[in-house]
Parts: sequence; C-alpha cells; structure tokens
Amino acid sequence: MTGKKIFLFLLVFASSLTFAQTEFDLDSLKEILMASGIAEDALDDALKNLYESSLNDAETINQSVKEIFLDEKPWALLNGLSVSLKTFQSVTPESANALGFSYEYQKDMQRYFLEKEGTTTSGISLSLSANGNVAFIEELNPNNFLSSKAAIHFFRSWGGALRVDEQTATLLNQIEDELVLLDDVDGSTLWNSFLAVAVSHLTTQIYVDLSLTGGLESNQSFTKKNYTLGGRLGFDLKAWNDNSLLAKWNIFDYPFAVIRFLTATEDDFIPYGSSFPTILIGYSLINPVKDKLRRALGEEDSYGRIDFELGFKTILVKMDEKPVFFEASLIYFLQPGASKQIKESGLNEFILFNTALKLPHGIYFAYTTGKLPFDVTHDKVYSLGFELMF
Amino acid sequence: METWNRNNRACTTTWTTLRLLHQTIEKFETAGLITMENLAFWNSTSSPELRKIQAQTLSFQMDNVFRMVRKATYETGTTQEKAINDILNILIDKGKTIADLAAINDYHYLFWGENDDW
Repeated sequence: MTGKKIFLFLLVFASSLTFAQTEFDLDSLKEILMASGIAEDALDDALKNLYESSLNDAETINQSVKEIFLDEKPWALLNGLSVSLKTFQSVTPESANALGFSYEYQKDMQRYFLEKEGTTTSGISLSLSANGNVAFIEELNPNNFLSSKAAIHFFRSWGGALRVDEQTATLLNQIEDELVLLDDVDGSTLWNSFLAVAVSHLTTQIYVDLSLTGGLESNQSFTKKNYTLGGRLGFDLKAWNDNSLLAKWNIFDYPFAVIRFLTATEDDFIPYGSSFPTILIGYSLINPVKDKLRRALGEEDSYGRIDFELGFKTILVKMDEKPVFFEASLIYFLQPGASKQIKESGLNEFILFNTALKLPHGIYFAYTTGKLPFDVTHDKVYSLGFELMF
Repeated sequence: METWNRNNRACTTTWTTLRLLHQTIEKFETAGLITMENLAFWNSTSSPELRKIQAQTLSFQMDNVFRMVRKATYETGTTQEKAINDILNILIDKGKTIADLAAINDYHYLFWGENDDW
C-alpha cells in the first residue's frame, strides 16, 4: 500500500470511530495493517499526521469542549440580568447630560411550597437581587446608588378565585374560541359575555412576603459603602373582581380610570382593582463601612434605618391598539432617632420619586426627583430611553 | 408545543387570563410577541424586589384562574409548585414573551377540553 492509501484508510477508520465516539484500540489496528505488508515506520508517520490534523481541527476541539462542559452552565446564573442604556438630563445648576446604563438582576436560588389548599399557598425561598444606575462619568450620575442583596423569604398567598362547574368551564372555552378570531376584542359583545361569567368568579387576593435580608449598598465607584442586615415585609393586595367594593375604592387608579373612559379605552369609569399599589417596608441595621460624610461628623457607628417602597402601574390609554402605561414608585429611607448633626446634614432621611410613561415599541419618558443615600444633591432628572435585552 | 396558535388551548387561555387580569389589551394574533415588561404588572420604576412580589402575586393568581375558573388540572408528573415556579421564572424575565408563558403553561396544565395527547 502507498502512504496516501494508508492515510486514507486510517482517516476513514479513525473518522468513523470519532463519530461513533468509541474507544480506539491502536495496537489492534497496527497489527491488522502490518499483517497486510505495511512497514511500521510508514504506519507511525501516517498515524502521527492523522492525529495532528484531527487534534488541530476546530471541530474536534469544539466537540471535546462541549462534552466536558455539557453539564456545566455557569452562564445560567446570569439569567435574570438585564441592562438598559440611558441618558440622564439633570436640571441642577450645573445642568449636564450623562450617558450610562441601569442594570437589574433577580434570581430565586431555591423555592419550596409548605402549604397548598385551594387558593391558599405558602412557602419559603432563597433569592439574590441587584440593581443600580451607572453613568460613564460618575460625577454626572444623578442616582448614584447600587444595591445588592441576598434574602430568605417566607411567602403566603390567599384568595383570588372561586371554583366553576363544568358547564361554565365549557361555556368559557366556547366563547374563547370565538374571541381569538376578533381584531377588536374590547367592547365586543363576546368579550363582555366572557367577562360577565369569568369576573364573577374572581375574588380579592392577598400576597405577603416576609424576608430576612443582607446586602451591600454603594456608589458606582465603591468609595462609599454600607453593609445592611434586616427584615422586610412585602404586601400586595389585588381586587381582581372590578365589580367588588374594594376595586371601586382604588382611588390611586381614579385619574387613570377617567382618562381611559374619556379616550374610549374603556366603555365606563372602571378603576382597576388589579392596580392597587404594592408595598415593601423594612428595618435594617446599617454598617457604614465607607461613608466620608458620616466619618467627617464622627458618626461611624452602625445605625437603624426604616425603608419603604411603593410601586404603582396602570394602563393610561390605548394607542394603535397597544397600551400606554403609567408607572410610578416612591422610595423612602429614614434613620429614626438620628443625632442633631446627622439631621442637619440631611443624612437621616432620603426620598426618591420615579414616574414613567411607557409607550409601545420600547420608548419611554421618565422623571425622577429626590435623592438616595450617597446622593449629595436633591436632583430632578428627566430621561428618555430605549431598552436592549440580554 | 407549537408556537403561538389559536388552536392550542394553553395559548388561548393564557391570553384570555392575562386580559381578564388587566395585564394586556392585545388581540390574540399579536399577543404572542408581547414581552413580560409590557404587561401591566412590570413596573420599571420599582426595585427588582418589589417587582418580584408583583410577579409572584400574578403567578399564584394565574394558577388560581387556570384551576378554579378554567378547570385545568396538572399534567402527569407536574405539581403546583413546579407550575407556579416556572410561571414566575417567565414573568420575572423581561425578555420572555406571552408565547413563552403559554408554552410553559402547556407543559404543566391539562386545560379543560384539551386533548390529552398534546
């Protein structure tokens, strides 16, 4: 056999074994080839060339790497991370534009249900979260506050729906089969029929989340840092049945219910019980590891802090058959019993109000006023943005 | 499961449930592409912790509506915990779509009148 034929034979043989991913008995192969009259030196050279070409083939390397890391998905930990590009327009006396981004991350590491009965469910979970704003020029960052937390939660949900009979379930299916064919669903007789049946089986849901939380707060350069440890209580009330008394008393949604009625987004004045604000309140022990302002005042000891957050979102109007949303949040920090020096320096209390109008196709207009811990000045910030996704 | 399809009960019931709970006003044809951040519960001005509470409330309520109002049961091998956890994981991922949510619901729920062979 010539060298080329040896090479081709070995290539086909080795390739078939590579694809089959079986063990390669080299000694057996050599015996077979040498028995057919091939010199050992020629055989060794041919095998050496074959191995080198296979090992240098990117596809071989890729396959090996894939097999080694098949069960390893470290990047899966990043699921839940999103980054948004932003521009900030500050209206402080040194008015300037700032380009940057905001990030947020939320992941449940473990979740277990303890009680499950009807619409009542409770459980525990372990979570990680992080969020913040980063400006490419730090001095222009109007909300220079990064927060990272780990927490253990106890949660409970009760209420929300009543059981229907088989006849009602079949009826809802039949109406649904017709609804999916409609271009104009809202206000249609079919949709009203569906609502008349389904809404009457919705009730008020209450969700609570009690957590023990530890974390780190800092500015974007980490020259100011707080370690935190405390407890938080989240409360979410949803009066899913719009005909209920509780829904009708959702005064937070009144202005928007009026706008929806006037713009024919709804046929009537209907406050959404589903848009009751969500509340998060907590108390933490703060260890100001790096806080130049407190250090300058001789106030470097740990201190207690109350934090409160309220979030609200509702549909404002319909635009090109898509919703325009109004969003708002209020964040408040208070150090109770702060010294006179801390109070006079304005370090005992922080409040931040965010509001945004979210239009279709990812465009939003936002306004923020107030300051967070580590912000020196009380800013009013307008921002206009678009969003990218990982 | 097939992608967004009016002949798939999980798609249609996911859509009507989100409309019923005032999360969207989209018609069925275009609803599949709507992302979680464009649902009514997703408040971009809130912290991730607050938003997750809102997502958890919605995940439990979606399960309530499927089971109690639409008479769905869990597919063989799934549990309420798995179903709600998977719904929550979709809801807190702003880039996921209503079609993604319907796919996970199709996996976990046998909807009333749905063919067992899906």
